Amino acid sequence: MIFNYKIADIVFSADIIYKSTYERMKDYLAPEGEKPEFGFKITDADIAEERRLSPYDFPDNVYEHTAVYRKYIYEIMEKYDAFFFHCSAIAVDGEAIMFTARSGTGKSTHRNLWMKNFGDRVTVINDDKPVIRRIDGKFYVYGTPWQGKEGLGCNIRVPAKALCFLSRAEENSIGPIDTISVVAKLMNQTVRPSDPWLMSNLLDLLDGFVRQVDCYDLRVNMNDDAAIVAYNGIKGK
Amino acid sequence: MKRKEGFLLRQFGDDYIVVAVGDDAENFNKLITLNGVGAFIYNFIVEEKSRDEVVAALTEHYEVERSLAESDVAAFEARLSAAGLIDD
Repeated sequence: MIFNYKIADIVFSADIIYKSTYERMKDYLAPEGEKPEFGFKITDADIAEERRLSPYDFPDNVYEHTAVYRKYIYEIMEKYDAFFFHCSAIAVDGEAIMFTARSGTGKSTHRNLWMKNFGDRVTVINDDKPVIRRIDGKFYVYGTPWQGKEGLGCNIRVPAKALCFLSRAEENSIGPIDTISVVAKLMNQTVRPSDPWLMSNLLDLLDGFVRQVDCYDLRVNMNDDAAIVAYNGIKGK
Repeated sequence: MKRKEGFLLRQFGDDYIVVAVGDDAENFNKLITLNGVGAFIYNFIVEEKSRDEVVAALTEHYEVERSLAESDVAAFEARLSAAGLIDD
């Protein structure tokens, strides 16, 4: 069945097979009357391709959800000033803070510490695959229906404030990180277009992103004050 | 030295990044970061200059000894070659 979705303020149509995909994405159905800017259909071949790329063996309906993601992200990277990288993104007092790390580092654990310390001031935007867009020169972090293992996130848009590269350490500390490392790490976590123009656009976008968003090397243990140290480093700036 | 087709060099602050595009992109997982001297050399390679020309330019531009420039260029070539950025 065909549904219209609106994700990161971009309306598109998706012809999907499984009810579970509809359920996972229902918070992102487009309002009545808004016209899709592009559309695609999920086929058995798309699902087979997701299965091939996956290290797991999930039922087909799970792979449909990731197939929609892949088609959507390729379209928006091509047509809009948009990109993604794996991270946990939270809104704190209306500003987005993103945490990225190698899997297994403890992104979710650290995100939990923020929720515990700051309570209602923190909203999870997306815990796995938010979309980053530049609109009128400003970068925003958007919630998406691809929310990771714990299914945390919501359909909101928040101005981007900071990006933290998270690693584990005995003592908590936060410090600057050089631009070239940020770009290299982000490039390693996103879809790299092979088309030279699209690649050039992506590099332009990253250049703008690193100029506007404060980037940090954040080293944390799993104690409560890890979030306080990080908060003071980011907000005290 | 001949640079392979399909790479983009881009400056970020004082440093540079080289990424694969086109047909090579599929097989090129790494990306290379370069400092200013690295990018200077790389740009000469893009123009398909000989090793001697690169060494001469480096000696002149950075006012370094020829022997140092030669060993730097050789080391840099080895790195680019290992990364699949140039054909020998």
